[in-house]
Amino acid sequence: MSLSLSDLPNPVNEDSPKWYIDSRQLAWQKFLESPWPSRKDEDWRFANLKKLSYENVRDSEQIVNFDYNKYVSNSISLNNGNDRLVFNNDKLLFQSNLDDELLSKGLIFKPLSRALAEDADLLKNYFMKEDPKLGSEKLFNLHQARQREGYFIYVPEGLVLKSPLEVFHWVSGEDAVIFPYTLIVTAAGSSVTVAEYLASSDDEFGLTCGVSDLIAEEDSELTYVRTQNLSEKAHSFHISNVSAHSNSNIKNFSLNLGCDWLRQESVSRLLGEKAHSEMISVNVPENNQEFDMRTMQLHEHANTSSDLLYKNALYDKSKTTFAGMIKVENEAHFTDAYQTCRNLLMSDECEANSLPGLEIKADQVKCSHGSTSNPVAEEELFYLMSRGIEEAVSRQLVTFGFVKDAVDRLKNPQLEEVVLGKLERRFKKIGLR
Amino acid sequence: MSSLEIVNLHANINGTEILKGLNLNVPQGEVHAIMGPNGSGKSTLAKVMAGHEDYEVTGGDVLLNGKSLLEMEVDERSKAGLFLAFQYPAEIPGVSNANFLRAARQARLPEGEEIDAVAFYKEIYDKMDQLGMDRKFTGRSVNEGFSGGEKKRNEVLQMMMLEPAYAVLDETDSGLDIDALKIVAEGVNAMRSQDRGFLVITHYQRLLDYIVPDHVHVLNDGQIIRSGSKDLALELEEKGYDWLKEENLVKS
Ligand SMILES: Nc1ncnc2c1ncn2[C@@H]1O[C@H](COP(=O)(O)OP(=O)(O)OP(=O)(O)O)[C@@H](O)[C@H]1O
Ligand SMILES: [Mg+2]
Repeated sequence: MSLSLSDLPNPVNEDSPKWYIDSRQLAWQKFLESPWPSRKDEDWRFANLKKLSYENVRDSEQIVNFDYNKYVSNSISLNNGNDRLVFNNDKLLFQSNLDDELLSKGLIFKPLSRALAEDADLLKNYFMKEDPKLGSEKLFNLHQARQREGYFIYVPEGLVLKSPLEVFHWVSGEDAVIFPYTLIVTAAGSSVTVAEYLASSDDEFGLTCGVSDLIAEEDSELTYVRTQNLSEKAHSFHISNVSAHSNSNIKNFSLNLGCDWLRQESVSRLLGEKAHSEMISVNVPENNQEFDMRTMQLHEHANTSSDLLYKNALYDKSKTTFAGMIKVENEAHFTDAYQTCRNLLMSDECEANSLPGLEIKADQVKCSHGSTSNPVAEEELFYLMSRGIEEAVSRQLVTFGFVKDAVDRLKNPQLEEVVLGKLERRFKKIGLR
Repeated sequence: MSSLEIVNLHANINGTEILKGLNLNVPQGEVHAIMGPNGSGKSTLAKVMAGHEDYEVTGGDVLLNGKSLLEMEVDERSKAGLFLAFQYPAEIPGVSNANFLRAARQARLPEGEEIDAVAFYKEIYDKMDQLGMDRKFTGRSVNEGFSGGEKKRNEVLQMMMLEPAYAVLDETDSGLDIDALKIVAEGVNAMRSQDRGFLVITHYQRLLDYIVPDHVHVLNDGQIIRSGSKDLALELEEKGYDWLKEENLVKS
């Protein structure tokens, strides 16, 4: 059955809490009333809005041709029996049994639908509190109104999880549309690493419209790694909201390989003394892929720091837009905020746009932003070739090094291996040029 | 017997002629030193031989075993047996030293053949021990953040791993402390053999106490203006370059 976005069914469970049902209805009203983004909006400069039209998306629940056994057995990245959730088209396929000891300590790691039934009061405290700040109200409201699944992680006070939690989102079938929601909360003194893998099981068009809320309370640590390997016809829209309270550390890492078009908005709010946020992204588009990435480092409290590094290696006629804003509010004295976007141009026809922005209202602030766009440096190429490595291989080595440099910032050997493995396969597919 | 012959070599950079008819012959098994004032063209010679694209060769030839290097791509020259230890080695972020050397070794294998990783690591560790390099340098990005001396040692490590027929060392001694200088010289001496030649560019006679050359040449203004035995280096140390330059002016 084909539908346009505004005909999408509302897949809400009637037993859900009233606040949840109401919030969805409100979001749907807002979605219908708000206009689609236009290129006149500052937040959509350089965006190719022609891509944003969805005539024939489908209710993904109706799509059945998915090889359960194959994809569930494929849904292991870290290979050490990590706790994991596996979804296809916003439907839970598999959940590993959580360690009893962790459960007894109060760890929550479950699908959103179950959290709504079992932990509604806790969930409500954190659920979708952040309004979009980078121009995507329309899509944000669509997400909220039509969201059907996702997951909730709550790490209770003082609990430090050693191995990462893993979540797989598969998208399958032509014109499938999914709305995955992620909510991760680390309570005081706790620590967690979450790896979320979004991928297509086929090469069809599909739309992913997702939101991730990442909340680190006092003295906690939260690392969120999201890899996107959708089909090259797919579209993806994603907002991540970081809220870093005092003495907390949040690392928000993303890897984008697939998609014909994607928009990624990433906001970090620094809300308490000594809060620190790291925003890292690695993107390797080829052919005609378009990646539109907007970020905001929002310092609302004194003595906070943020560090952003986006690295794009562009092939063929691909296009990236990076718009990064550093905003330092009145009270946020002694802010340290860094922002770097580096583009490696692997063809003459690719297009890398950078739009850095600064808005500083406080004193004693250290801020820097810079962006570069260059082809592979001749001196590096010459050096490698002078050791007998042929030009195309040398070029690939430099490119791999360029992205690896950002992956190294994960400082987690296990996850680095997973991400580098994906990049290796990516470069293998792109081939020697 | 194989050889390295530089014949009447002329080369420009940005339209300025730097090498002005340079002749040099390094037979296999010999070590030749090149000395000369700053800016005389020593690094230019080295980079022209390696095939740097900023330089335009306007005349002459460089022959390795009778085959012109100038016809070859940069990587082909290396595979043909030429090695250049750079005066200023490039930094390659994100590429580990070990992966870099593996790729260089892999490039020398026939298609379809793979490097034996275990043997490779054993070999690289042996050679690093020989050079007094900490093993952590295998995991670090090529030359990134290396000290001046560490970069030079890393050049010698690469030479040892690639076992070239001819090695050109461009001021490999600069930046080395006294102990490192001895270690590096030992490394080079260990590689001296009947079927390998060296061209050692240096400013310091001291190096030649450790790596004793068969011949010493003086390069000035793009030409070799004097060749002699290792004693020439001592003479230069004493008198500087001016007397040679003047003599050369008188001759021409
Ligand atoms: N891009 C360039 N444009 C113009 N002149 C250049 C360029 N690069 C090098 N040169 C000049 O070429 C000359 C030779 O330089 P080269 O590096 O070969 O000297 P060298 O003998 O190695 O000196 P040193 O002992 O200081 O290492 C110098 O005068 C230098 O300024
Ligand atoms: Mg020089």
